[in-house]
Amino acid sequence: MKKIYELTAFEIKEKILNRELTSEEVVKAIFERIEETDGEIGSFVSLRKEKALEEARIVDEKIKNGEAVGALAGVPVSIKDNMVSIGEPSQSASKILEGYEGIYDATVVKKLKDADAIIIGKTNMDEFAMGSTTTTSVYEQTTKNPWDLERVPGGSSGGGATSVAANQCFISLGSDTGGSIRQPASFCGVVGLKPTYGRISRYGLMAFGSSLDQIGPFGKTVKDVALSLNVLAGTDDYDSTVEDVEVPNYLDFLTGDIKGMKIGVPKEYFIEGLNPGVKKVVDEALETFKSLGAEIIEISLPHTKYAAPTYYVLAPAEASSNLARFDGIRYGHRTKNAANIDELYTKSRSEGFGDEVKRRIMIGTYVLSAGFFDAYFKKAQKVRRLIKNDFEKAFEKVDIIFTPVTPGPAFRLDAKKTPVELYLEDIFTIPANLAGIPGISIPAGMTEGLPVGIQLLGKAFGEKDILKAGDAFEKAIKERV
Amino acid sequence: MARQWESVIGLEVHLQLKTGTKVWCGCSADYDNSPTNTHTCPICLGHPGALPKLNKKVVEYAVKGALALNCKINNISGFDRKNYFYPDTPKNYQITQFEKPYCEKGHLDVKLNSGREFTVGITRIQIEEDAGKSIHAGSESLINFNRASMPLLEIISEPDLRSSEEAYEYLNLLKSTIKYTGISDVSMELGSLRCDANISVMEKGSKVYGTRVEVKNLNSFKAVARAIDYEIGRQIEVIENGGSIDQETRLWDDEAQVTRIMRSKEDAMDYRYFAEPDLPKLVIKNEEIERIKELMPESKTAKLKRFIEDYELPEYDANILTDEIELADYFEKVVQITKNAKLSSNWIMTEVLRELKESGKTIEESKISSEDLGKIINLIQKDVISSKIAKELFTIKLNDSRDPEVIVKEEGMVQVVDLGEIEGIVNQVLSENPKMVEDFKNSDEGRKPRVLKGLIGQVMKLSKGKANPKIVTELMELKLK
Repeated sequence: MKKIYELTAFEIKEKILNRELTSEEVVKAIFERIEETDGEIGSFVSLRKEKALEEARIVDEKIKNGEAVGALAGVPVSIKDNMVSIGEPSQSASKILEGYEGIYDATVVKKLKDADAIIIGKTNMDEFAMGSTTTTSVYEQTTKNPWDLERVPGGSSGGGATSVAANQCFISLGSDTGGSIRQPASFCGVVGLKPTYGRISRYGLMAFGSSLDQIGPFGKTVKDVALSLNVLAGTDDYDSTVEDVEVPNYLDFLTGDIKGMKIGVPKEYFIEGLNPGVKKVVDEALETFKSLGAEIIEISLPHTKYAAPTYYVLAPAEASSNLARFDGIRYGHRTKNAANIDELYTKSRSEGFGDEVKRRIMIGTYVLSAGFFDAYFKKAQKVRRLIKNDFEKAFEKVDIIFTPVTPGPAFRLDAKKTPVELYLEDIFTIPANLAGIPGISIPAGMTEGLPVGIQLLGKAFGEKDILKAGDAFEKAIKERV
Repeated sequence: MARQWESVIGLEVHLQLKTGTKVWCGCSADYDNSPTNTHTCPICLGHPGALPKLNKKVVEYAVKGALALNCKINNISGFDRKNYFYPDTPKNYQITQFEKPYCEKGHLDVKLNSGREFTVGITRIQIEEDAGKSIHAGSESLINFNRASMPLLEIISEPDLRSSEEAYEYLNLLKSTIKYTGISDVSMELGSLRCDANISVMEKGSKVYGTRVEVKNLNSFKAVARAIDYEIGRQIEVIENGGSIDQETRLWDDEAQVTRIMRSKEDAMDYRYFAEPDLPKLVIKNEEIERIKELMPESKTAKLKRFIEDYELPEYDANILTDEIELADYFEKVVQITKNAKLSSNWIMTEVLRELKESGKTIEESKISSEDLGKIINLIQKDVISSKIAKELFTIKLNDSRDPEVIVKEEGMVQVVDLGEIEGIVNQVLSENPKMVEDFKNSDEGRKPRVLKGLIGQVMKLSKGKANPKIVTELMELKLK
């Protein structure tokens, strides 16, 4: 029989509702599992065991009394360290927020609580979500890929991906600015969804690139991710960029039937540098879709090659402004020895931010400066529009788009990659952020003993399409295994 | 021949809107006299993850301001970030309108006391947020964020002003126009109106404007006028001495009555403006503008016209009474009680305005309420007191909380109308002043009224002003025949 922690979120929820299990038992099992494994894996940066147990008991009590409970009743969930929760460490893995505790709950935290989910702790990440390895965290803790402890888990939501992959929780929330959910999901063999920009409130998510950031769930299955999206999606009084688009019950689309679905395969995504192992998994996945009755159509997204440079202008520009509030005046790290206000800023920020964050603040400040604004920022905005148009045109012909997630599988922790090499890790995931469309990474196979994911992209607010296709695919390959 | 100079002035006026709550959050904006940092929340303190959400009332007020200043309202506008580090700016960027403001191309028609008229163009008005307030106490610096994120309108005029007098009159008209809309207190003392001046000089007849200097720290309309005069003089002197004007920002030193350099163009800020990604475009539909138009209070021009037409007041009276909306309201309340517009107007223009001038009070602070004045005037109309006694009553009322009618009764100020009593006094005066009686009889028709007036005066004096002058006159004329 499967152990409690090996079950899916959906199964756990069912068992708790049937009273086969109590939430308290589940939470206890999860904390035992974390104690056993997290020394090696390093998913978590803070835990809330006592509060979680207390909340679990309240949910159990409600169920016992026949009271109505939320859609994630009693299910242990972890969240990324860049999501604010009241009275709890919320640090974005940065020294500049050393000791900072949230003074309010992020909307997603509130929604999880309202859905009776049990938040068990915060997960490790790249500082301020900048990176693709989870190695730029200030915490003296390296998060390791559960499949091979000498490899990176991906980033920046690496801790979230490993917490699900290592069965330390059932659902985890990450944030995705250029692939930070989908790439670690692919590296760790879990499902990771970046929803449409404006589908989930960003209120309480420490901003990196405001026009690109989106919160999304990791799960063990597509169904768990759909269940989570039901809880998280929808308008919010505190975030006016969330669009007022109806939230369907995403579980309703998981029928397994995708006969006649048109799947676009962009030729620009199948590049020279694609790892052969990855290519094999991706090719097999396409065959699977064909066997399910989907129609595969070759498409072109001609501006794809400009996506990474565009992203690395726009994201740092927004980041340089978003991170300006971390100045040592109102909260967080303040330098001990400053003679005047300029020194207070400079030293607090020099001491508080890590190298990658500083690099991007400098790039961002440069591309926004009066002399270079038109040449960089404005031009990047124009290219972003072209990339968006590419997708809109493609979606006139196809229902979803199929691509690899990353050029290769998880790389070694000691692989000395330059910043630019690391930036290229995101070339398949970035376009979705620039276009604001949803993307999902689904485990599709293995190479060199490491998981490999595939990416499905949907039209804006077309989460139902990629969840439907992803679920059908997942069922098909499970049957084959 | 001495060179002839012409000055060019443009004003930037900041208005704080009386919307009740702040621009991006629900914090109460009525923070006057509140303890420091009590009107704050994660949003206006710029806490990690917090996002702005536009207060709908700000848009309504902004539209009212735009309509009052005859501006063209843009249906679609946007917000931008203006990035700069300053301790009382919580996010270290100010959200403002840069690329496209919500309204443009307005004007105000100013009429000088001399009768000369001129038009000042309004380039644009933008919605933006205020900063907090720094307090420097010795070596300590403290910040009060109660004012942070208060809604402001920045009204930028065209460089259409040519003298300090014009600037002064423009500001006065702007103030009274805005006051009429009820969107702001427009008080320099309360800080709800602030003004910066851009000043340059050029040779008379030149088509090319000189280099402009921005003067800040102007804390009264008089200071604006003085700073302009000083700056014009300084600039002319510099140029005539062979120097040139640098583009710089200067501060007005009210004590020394001079401007001092604050920063030069070389160390001017690079604000790195870019579109605020956390807020959607600001859409103001025509129907909404029409709806707000309906809500607009009567404008000064409309009120002036109505006062002349409905109350049959001379233009001179109507002009003075409508100068300030509070005075106009006061007048209308008095008229409601007296049903006599001209008499009410006379009393306000002479007694009330003189009293305000002497006491330095505003009409809202006046000791004589509209009810009081209405009652006093009605006492005259009902022949209970004479105009002369009424003036005494007015003076008494300034330091007396009793009702005017009560004062008249208790102080025995009621007019004498008893024929017998008045006849007694008339007879006494006639017998005590035989010379005057003789004089009257010998005078020609031209002189007679003057002598009569003297005799009546004696009667009034003897009756301590209480005798009804009409009866006195009739009796006197009868007896002298």
